[in-house]
Amino acid sequence: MKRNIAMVALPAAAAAAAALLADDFVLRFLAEILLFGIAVMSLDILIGFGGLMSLGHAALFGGAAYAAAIAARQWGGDVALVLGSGIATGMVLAALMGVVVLRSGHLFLLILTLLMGQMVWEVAFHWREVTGGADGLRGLPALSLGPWTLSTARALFLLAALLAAVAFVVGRSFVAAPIGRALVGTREEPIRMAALGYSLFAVRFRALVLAGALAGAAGALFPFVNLYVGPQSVHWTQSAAMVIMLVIGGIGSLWGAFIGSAVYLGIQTYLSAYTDRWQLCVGLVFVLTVLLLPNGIASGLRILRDRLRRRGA
Amino acid sequence: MTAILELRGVGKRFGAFSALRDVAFDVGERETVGLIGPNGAGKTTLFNVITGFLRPDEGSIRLAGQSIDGMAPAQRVARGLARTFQTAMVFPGLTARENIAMAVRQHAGDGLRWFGGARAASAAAEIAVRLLGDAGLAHRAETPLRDMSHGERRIVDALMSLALSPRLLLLDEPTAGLTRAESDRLLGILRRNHADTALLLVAHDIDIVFGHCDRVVVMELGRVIGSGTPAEVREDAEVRRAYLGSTGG
Amino acid sequence: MPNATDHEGRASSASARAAASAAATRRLLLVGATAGALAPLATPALAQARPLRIGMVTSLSGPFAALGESMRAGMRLLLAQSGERFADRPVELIVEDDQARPDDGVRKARKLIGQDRVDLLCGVIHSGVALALRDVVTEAQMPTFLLGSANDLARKAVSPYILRPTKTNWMLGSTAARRSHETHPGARVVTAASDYAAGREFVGDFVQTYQEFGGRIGRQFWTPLGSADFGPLLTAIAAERPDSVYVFFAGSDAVRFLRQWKEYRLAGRIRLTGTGACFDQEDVLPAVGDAALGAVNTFHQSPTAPASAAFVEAYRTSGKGLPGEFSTTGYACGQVLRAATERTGGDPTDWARTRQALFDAPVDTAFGRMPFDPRNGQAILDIHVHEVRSAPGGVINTVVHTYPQLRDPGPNA
Repeated sequence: MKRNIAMVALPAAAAAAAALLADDFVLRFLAEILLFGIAVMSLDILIGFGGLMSLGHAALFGGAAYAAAIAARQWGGDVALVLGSGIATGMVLAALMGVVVLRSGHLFLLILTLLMGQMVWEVAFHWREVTGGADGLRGLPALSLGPWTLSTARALFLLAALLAAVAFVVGRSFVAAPIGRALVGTREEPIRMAALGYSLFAVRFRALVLAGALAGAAGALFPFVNLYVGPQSVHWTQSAAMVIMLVIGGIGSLWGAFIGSAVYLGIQTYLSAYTDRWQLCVGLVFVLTVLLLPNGIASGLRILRDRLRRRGA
Repeated sequence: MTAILELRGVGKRFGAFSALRDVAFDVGERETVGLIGPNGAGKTTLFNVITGFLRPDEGSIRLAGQSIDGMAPAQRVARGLARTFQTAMVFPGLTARENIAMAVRQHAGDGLRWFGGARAASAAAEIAVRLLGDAGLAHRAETPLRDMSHGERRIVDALMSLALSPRLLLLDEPTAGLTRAESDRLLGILRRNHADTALLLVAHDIDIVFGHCDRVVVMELGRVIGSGTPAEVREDAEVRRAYLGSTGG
Repeated sequence: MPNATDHEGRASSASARAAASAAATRRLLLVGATAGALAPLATPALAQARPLRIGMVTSLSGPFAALGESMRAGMRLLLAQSGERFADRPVELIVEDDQARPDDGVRKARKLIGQDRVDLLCGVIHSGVALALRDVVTEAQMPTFLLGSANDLARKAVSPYILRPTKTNWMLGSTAARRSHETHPGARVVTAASDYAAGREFVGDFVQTYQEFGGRIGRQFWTPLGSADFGPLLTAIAAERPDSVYVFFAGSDAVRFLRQWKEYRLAGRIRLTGTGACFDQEDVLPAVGDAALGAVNTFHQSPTAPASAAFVEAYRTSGKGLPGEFSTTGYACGQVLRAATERTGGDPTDWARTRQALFDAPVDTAFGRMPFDPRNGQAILDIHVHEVRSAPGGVINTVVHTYPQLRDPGPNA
């Protein structure tokens, strides 16, 4: 019980402190970390729990970003509209992906998700009238919730933090429910699951659509971080970056996704001031993680906590 | 006694190689039928065909009088057909209770449930613990499968399939690697606690087969070469030749 | 705008909390930095002693790397000539690489604004980056001298925080059409261009203006950015038998096209016209030699225009050869920044005053006399018509005509 209170109170306190004290740049940066964290967490459900290696996740996240930006430019920045269009787009794209991709073996899954993601990129890059083509979309209206305008960096951060909390609870609930356990079962013993009467396709499809909804919700707010969305956000290299974030943070831990997102974006933002080779640094962290902490930084923190507890006991 | 399983003219080829040829026999409701034969006789292939993991090239299969040709494994399970595999395909990281609960949830229609998941999960857990209790393994309910003995793992494996309340359970060498005592215990659990389930089991230990089965079907090189009560089969000349030949004298 | 006392008050209560918790120390630094950064704005006297921090976002890697280096070189030359001071105030230049990608450009701009806390922002070659930055700098209220040349930057994407000491694509496309009509009325023209935003604007404006003059346009050809083989394109152009061709290709595509234009023996047989960027004195002509001889292009930058003579001489003396568009743009931008600082007594961040100062009187730059249009902050420029002619050591864009003080149609276009 005490642990549960701490798990809720600490992040809430940190979020409140950041909202009060941090400047606009840091708040937008934290919002970006949280939104990517949600997307990477949804990827964790696929990779960590489902064993479904996807290189097309940016298409879900970025596709939702485009949908939200287009909807906002058309009908205003109401948060319900923005989130709704993002979630719907994420789910539809995930469903399409699932129908094509989920009936094939693991190597094909990797390649097919990559290809389908690039198809989304082609649409974003070439459909200039709707997506702005290579130039992307800007000129977004401010987010609004009823009568309130949410145009400040602080408002965006708080919205992202709230979304992250909800997404985390949803993710945990899914993973603990029978469907979540079935998903793990299909990863560990797919033949046995089939012999127990589970439809592997049905289990995986549901997981993929859920991941699409979560990534879509996060993607919907993403254009409002930079006041811009472009085709880079649906490119397969963005999908690969998400996988790297997940590995660094910790596959299978759900909350590790946020750590991985923070590490990756932190290196990208702060190190790129000193050197062009920040990606080399990310690569180094990635390799070190795989060698020393195969289950990511999250597992390292868990080991540390257990050791401290034992010492205290 | 009505037949729960009817095989007629089942054949399966892999390229030029005929794994199954004109296989035909019945399994009656609540019967225990043993399936024996030398290695390569096609027993596992036949199991895969019956359960839908392989598609036969010819023949028909009826379950409880209904044709199940062309159905996916999950659909056959829904109609009351379950199986185990030569190796115990359990979830090593999960406890015995969780392993069986995975099957119970699916049978209860809660396999893909999200909302109300907690209630469904605890209901399934209760049933799983009861099944373990009936098998004398209640004290092992919270043990991860990887920490269990081989014999206990086989029992849990069988209980997973039995949790589906199947009308027919196919057991592929359920006693492999078990001591005599463990084998008797496993089969005893099957026969006593789940008497409504018909069993079709593959085993290499002749004593087990003849000791526990109502009837025996003998296969060699993809064909049925004899069937009947254990006593009848023991006297059959073809059977004696096949076994004498296969053990190499 | 919160005044310094508010932040200092908050800072001291924050420092009390920081003593208790190591985790809050970082936040203290953030607050302290905020207080420290804002304090000078409340006391102008302090501002002049403090260096003027200028952030430049440009492409130092990727397809536009050479162009970005030129822009930086031009700005650096201006700073060196000014003794690294504007109006007796030391100048710090921080350059960031946008890799010609809008996402990275936005990220770098936010970093310059929020982390490096620059006073002024400038730069950008890629129009996509420029458009992406528009909202970010406007939201952050960061005075920006934006150098991308997409037409929207002077029309739909105008911002009170953005001034533009450079051309718009329309200026080049429309003047090329005017010149073509004036010298060869009735000619049938086909177009060929890189298929991306800038290419579409150059060709679109050329075609629209040319057709307004009653000219005839044949087929319009498009190739993807980064094409290596222009053979099929050149064959198709030849088959069309046009009177002239209007082209735009970016960066290394321009070099390859012109070389192959000569290899396919179209040089000298079909009149070649185009955007000045495709015949850039620094980045294209040295690599293609006489392949471009006789070609006509319109450009705001010229190595032979009188106004840029001093800059051309200084650039050559620094060992770099004849300057092209982006080195001149970097230099001219520096000249505008210097003028802004001088005209406002050393404080160009007083943005209302700076804008007024720049609208009141033009700035003398390497592009010539540069007034700004108060409607959209867009520079009004002389556009030169060049003919590529032989010169000792190579070829040179030679001015044959000038359209003076061209004003972009602006927000009502």
